[in-house]
Amino acid sequence: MAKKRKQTDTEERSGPQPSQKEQAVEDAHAFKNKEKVLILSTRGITFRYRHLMNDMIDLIPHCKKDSKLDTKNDRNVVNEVADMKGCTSVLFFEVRKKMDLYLWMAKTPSGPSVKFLVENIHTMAELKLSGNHLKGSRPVLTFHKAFDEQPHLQLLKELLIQIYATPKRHHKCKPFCDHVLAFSVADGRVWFRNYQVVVPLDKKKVNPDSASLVEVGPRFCLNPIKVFEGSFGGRTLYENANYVSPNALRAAAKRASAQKYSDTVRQRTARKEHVASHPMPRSDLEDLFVKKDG
Amino acid sequence: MGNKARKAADKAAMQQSSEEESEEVMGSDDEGVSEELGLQTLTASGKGGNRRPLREAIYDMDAMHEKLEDIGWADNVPWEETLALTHEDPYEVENVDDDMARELAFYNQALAAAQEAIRRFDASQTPWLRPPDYYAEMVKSDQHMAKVKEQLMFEQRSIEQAEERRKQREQKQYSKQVQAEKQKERNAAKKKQIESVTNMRKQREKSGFAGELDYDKEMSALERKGRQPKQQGKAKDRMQPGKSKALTNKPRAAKDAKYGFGGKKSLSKQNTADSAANMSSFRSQKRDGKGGGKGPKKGKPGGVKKPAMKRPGKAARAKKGKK
Repeated sequence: MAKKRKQTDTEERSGPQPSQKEQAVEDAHAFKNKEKVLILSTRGITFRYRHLMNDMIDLIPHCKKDSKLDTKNDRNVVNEVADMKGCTSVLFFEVRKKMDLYLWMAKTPSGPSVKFLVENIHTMAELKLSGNHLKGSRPVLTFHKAFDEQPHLQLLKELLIQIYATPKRHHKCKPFCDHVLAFSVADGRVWFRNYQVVVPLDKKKVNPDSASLVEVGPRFCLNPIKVFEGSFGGRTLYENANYVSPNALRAAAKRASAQKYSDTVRQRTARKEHVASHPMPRSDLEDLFVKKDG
Repeated sequence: MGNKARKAADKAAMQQSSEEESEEVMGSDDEGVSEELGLQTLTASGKGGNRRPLREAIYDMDAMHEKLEDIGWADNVPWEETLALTHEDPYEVENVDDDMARELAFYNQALAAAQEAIRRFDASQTPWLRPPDYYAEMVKSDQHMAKVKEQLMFEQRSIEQAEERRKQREQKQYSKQVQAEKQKERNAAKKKQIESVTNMRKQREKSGFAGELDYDKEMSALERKGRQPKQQGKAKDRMQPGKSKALTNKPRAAKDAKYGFGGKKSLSKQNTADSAANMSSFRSQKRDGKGGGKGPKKGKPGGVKKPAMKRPGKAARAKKGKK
């Protein structure tokens, strides 16, 4: 499968030649990217996660924002909301315990959907990075090679492209290209970075090699938990064997700190029992200097 | 459970699961093997301490491919629609905690993508560069950028200040050294002066204080005569008191000769081999009762039979008195 897709890839992306231009135009007429992304969160979102959500809204011009969702259990409501708003995909920020952020990426209404744990969050506001780019300019997306190699990553790549690629003639987008969204895979996680493309201004024709990047932000890292067949539910297609929930991590840390005291107590009682069950043997010389009667 | 231990377990599990995947991708239909591997994965992660239920992690490849076929359109459209690129270099970030290496890898990926994108835009003659006079809303507001600028300025300023402080500290150390050198020189000059005056006085003493004292003349004469101060001699004099020519205070000299002056203090009263063998101070007990030896018996010399003046007895005294 991976190979097949890759072949089509290279065929498609061999670079448009002037002779193919007409064909491309025709294709463009045939295909229209009508993706629209719904962005919403649950109630109880904290400021940092809210800021991250706002950054996402700034980066995705073809998005619709909706008010906070009241329920955490019935996620089908999200499908309904997306339907009402006419959206084809959803970015759903689910906050648990006011500390853990889970991000759902879903295609509605028929799926698939992916649930991530979001780690290492740094919002645009708190990162004092000097890069900046136009709001609504179309991003160049770049993916790590690993995205073509494993089936679940292929699926993730498709989802990410459909969500983050701005439709070409979208009314809110600006017809320039000045930033790059980088998706990379490391440590089993998807890392997100946003860079501004800086080119020297003095020349008319830009040499590609003279371009450089300045990071804009935000930064975060998506740890995939599960991939579902449907939108916010359905059969599980993928499950991350290495995923440890933050609750389990916290509990383990707590247990480890509690262990110290319980170990001491156990040791103390064990010592007492040992001493009680092994009395000192009576020595022959014990009553040598004891004054005997008479 | 340590974080490192967890990570190590995770890594081990990941490697195993990737092996499993690669096998499946290669098309081996041996379900037993993959199941075994999956179980191993789970036990490995179980040892690491994360309490997952003991069952195989779900990896439904066929369904995923099917789903991808259903929803996928990104590969079938011209590149301009998505602007999505795949990085050719399959780099691996070895240690994700190493910020520099990780960010550099991401940067390189993004840079390669940007350059490739520019090439493709140029090839298809699509305008992509924002004209310099095109102003529009940016992702970060002007206030935010002002803050960023302030932060940058602050960082630069703090670096400069640190540099300044460092320079000042060095300057201070240097000037301290210079000052010490100067003081030393001044002390030497003063010593020399005093010495020359002493010399002059001694000379006049030798000549019996003849003639009128013409200080300036004498001094210049001395200067001419002996340019070399007698440093070595002086040091010797200090070590052997009493012999010093400079010492005119006789009681002082006497005391110095008696008690010593300068030199090593400790062990000065301790016996040496010579002093222990020296019997010169030993005197046998005197029988004549004159003087008497030193020691506790001084007052009651036991062997004395006839003291020189003995008081007569009572009767004798009475007789004498009657006489």
